[in-house]
Amino acid sequence: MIVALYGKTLESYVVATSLCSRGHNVKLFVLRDGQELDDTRFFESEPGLSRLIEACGQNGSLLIEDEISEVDAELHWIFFKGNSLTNLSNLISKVCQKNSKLSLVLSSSLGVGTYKYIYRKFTEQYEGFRLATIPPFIREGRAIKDFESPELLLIGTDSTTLISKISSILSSIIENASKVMFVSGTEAEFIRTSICSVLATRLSLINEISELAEDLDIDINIVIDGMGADSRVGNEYLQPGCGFGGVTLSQEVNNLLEVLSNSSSGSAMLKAVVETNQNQKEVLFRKFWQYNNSDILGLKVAIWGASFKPNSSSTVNSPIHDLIDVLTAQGCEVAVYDPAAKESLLANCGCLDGVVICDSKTDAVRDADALFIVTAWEEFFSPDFIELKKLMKRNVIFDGRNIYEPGEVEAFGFDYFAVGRGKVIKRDVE
Amino acid sequence: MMNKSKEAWNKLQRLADDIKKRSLSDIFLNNPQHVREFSFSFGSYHLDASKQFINTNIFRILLELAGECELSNKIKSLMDGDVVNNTEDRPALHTALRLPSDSSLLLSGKNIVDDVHGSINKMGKIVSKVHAGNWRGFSGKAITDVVNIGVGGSDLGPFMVVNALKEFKAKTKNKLELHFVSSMDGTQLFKLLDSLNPETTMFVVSSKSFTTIDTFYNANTSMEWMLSSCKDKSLVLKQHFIGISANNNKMSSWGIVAENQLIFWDWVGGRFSLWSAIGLPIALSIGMENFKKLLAGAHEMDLHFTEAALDENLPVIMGMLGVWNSTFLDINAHTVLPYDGRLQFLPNYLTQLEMESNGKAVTKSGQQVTYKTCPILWGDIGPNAQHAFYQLLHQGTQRVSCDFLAPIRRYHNNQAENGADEHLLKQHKLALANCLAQSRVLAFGSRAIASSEQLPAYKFYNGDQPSTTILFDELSPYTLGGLVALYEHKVFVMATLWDINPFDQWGVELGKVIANELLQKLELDEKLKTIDGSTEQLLSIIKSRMD
Repeated sequence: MIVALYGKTLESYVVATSLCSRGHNVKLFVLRDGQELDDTRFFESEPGLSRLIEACGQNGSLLIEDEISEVDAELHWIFFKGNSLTNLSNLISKVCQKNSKLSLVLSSSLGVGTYKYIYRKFTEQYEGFRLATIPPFIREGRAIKDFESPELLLIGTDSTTLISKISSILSSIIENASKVMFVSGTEAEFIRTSICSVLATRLSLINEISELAEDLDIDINIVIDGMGADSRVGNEYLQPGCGFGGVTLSQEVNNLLEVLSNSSSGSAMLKAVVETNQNQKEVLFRKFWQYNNSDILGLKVAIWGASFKPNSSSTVNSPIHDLIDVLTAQGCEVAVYDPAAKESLLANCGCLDGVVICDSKTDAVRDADALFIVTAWEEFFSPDFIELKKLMKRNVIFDGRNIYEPGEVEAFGFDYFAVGRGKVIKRDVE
Repeated sequence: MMNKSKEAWNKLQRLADDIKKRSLSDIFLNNPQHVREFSFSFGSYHLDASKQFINTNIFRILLELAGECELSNKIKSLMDGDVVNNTEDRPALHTALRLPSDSSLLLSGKNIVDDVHGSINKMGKIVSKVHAGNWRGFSGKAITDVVNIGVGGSDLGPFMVVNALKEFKAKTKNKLELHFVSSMDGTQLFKLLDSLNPETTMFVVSSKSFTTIDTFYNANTSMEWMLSSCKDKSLVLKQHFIGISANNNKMSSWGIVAENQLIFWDWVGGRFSLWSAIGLPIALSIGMENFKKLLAGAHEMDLHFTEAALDENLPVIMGMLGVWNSTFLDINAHTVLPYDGRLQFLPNYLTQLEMESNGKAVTKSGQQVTYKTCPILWGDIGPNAQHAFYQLLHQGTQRVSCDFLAPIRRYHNNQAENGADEHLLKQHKLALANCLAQSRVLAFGSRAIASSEQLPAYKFYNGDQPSTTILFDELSPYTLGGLVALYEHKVFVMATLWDINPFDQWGVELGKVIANELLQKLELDEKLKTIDGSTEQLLSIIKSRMD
């Protein structure tokens, strides 16, 4: 079958190659004028993706184009990562103008209300317009696997014609999925948003608990170990850290927050979740500030990691931005190294005074007064601590992802601070 | 020579005897030009003094008195930095605080405008650091609450302006709330600290002398509260305490670090100090740009006061009318009635400005005055006061002069999306209608309504309570600055006609000394040697029931 995909996102490429390898012909429109669509720097960090794109291109099953044109496709699928409903609407208008009787699938993180809005707007205007929503469910770093064998595949539509089209195009994926749900468009959006909200809540809650653990001189890892053993709690999304970022989680939670704040029930919980997370993004700075008794003017801080999670090149909503802002505002120098996010860093903070973007972790820590760990990239897991000690001016590590064992790092002569473990500074005792 | 012996003074006394027999209705009837003659405009302000017991002749003689008192020279003297505060041997240069940075004013050979702008710039740095979220508390969290600790001039002015200009709040990275603590008994502080987080709270300790006992009891309590969360006092001082004073040394010895000290000068009186570093809470609330607009608005009024002819000079006219009412017409109470809730604290502010300045009975040359000076001043938001003390104004036995204040435009910039704004606009119009109605009834009483009906006595309104109505285009930092300066200068004009010094306040000193003595008696259980029977008894009751 012929499928037309629109979007310049990780997901659009993953779906394109995956459908090609299942015998479909795919036309992918990577829209240069789709202002808010993501860029494509993720290829290098997404295992296997570049190779697949190349192979599909060579065997002719994948055609990539810049301009929207008419396609005689069974299904049109839009991947939209922006945050403006108007832009999405404009994009759909363009597709509708080129193709009649459109069967459209929408994957966007615009959240609750999007499906209803688009459906109302276009069914009135275009005859035979059909709409489904498949909320995005892939994670960077394991995108292909996530798409091909999903835990939960949500297909939201009120059109039986579309259900059968989607079922046939995604048949093998439906087979592999642990659970498939055919629901209404709004239900699909709401399930998706609710999942994200629960995950975000877990993260903010564990961060809050970690702070309490510090006050009580308890290692949070031990606590999490115990909590995770209870099947009602489980292990996932229970890692304390210096704040969550990315597009999906942050945007979905903010969407729901907005919907809730316009409703009578209000949004006390999610408001707190978002605030706690924002506050958490500065946790390493606060420890560093306290460690130095607020005298940090002119100190040099090395930062390892900038992307919002490992195996990603994206720094969207990553704590790196908050840290760079607050450190430079206090007159510190910052040297950042990230294995994949260099370009994003250069684009966002390359020209800031006092910020150097380094090519290696060694370059970053040279003469540093402190080392911050912001992303848990594998290459940071077991550094040569002896070498590190020689390179750094002062031997103190602020670990925002809890990747080291306090005892081990301290044995090398470092002061080690992490989230909910390591050393703790107490101000209310003499 | 006392002003009473001036020729114009005697004429005014005779004119007063005459006009006391007349009603405001008569005055309006006698002169078809009356309203036009006693309406004055300057900039955004329109002043209607026609509902005062005034006529062409009285006004002329008041101007004569101003001339005999050398008012114009004295205004110049004030602005030039001459020693106008004779009992404390210093100038009173609050007007210098609003001079533009490119002007100059020499005081003992030094251009004080440089000092003024030096202080404004230092203030600006603090403000932008707090607004950007870069002023951090001991734990590294950004400051979200600022507590101003001060009393009198270090409290009333900033408090009034911050409340009046809440709509002009600056955009800040984090939320930023301002709080004011003044009372020595700790009531406000006790309630406030409970709701604040020491990690994110900053204290601004404001005191011209930096010895004010009320302020330091509150500051010490705040320090103790901080220390219970962070034992490192030097860190707390550095990140959580700003000092504002005319006395660097006193600030340093209390522990305020040099970078956190903002200064003003002994030539700024406390109740005239909101334009100085004392205005830091204002700048923190509305931002430096708006703070500068407040100064610019006041400066515009300064220029008007200096340059305009006396017969069209708003502060001069208000001052002359104030003296006329109090001294010649024996009206010993004056009330200020803003018809705008945002000016809720303006009357309270003016209470200090007028009564601490002109509540004096000794001339500049040290003689006892033989005439009435400053009236008792109070006030409230007009529409609320209508349900409180207006009864007395309308049907009581006391003569009271009134100032009605109202902005002409309000809510006009809002987008009427949900209809609420349209309704608010209606509320504003309702307030304006009430403002005009009340001054009308106060002036003309039952005669305001043409009715042939014979009213029972208890329904009768006598009228003949004089008032001035001040309209201004809208409430903004600029117009509020001008309005406050208008009252400051009015106070100076009155003091000049009364020949008293408006810039000292010796009447507040003795109580402090006695309080110190009595505190010792309370704490140390000493017998007082010379104490009156009443105080003795009160002390012993307190002591016996305290523990």
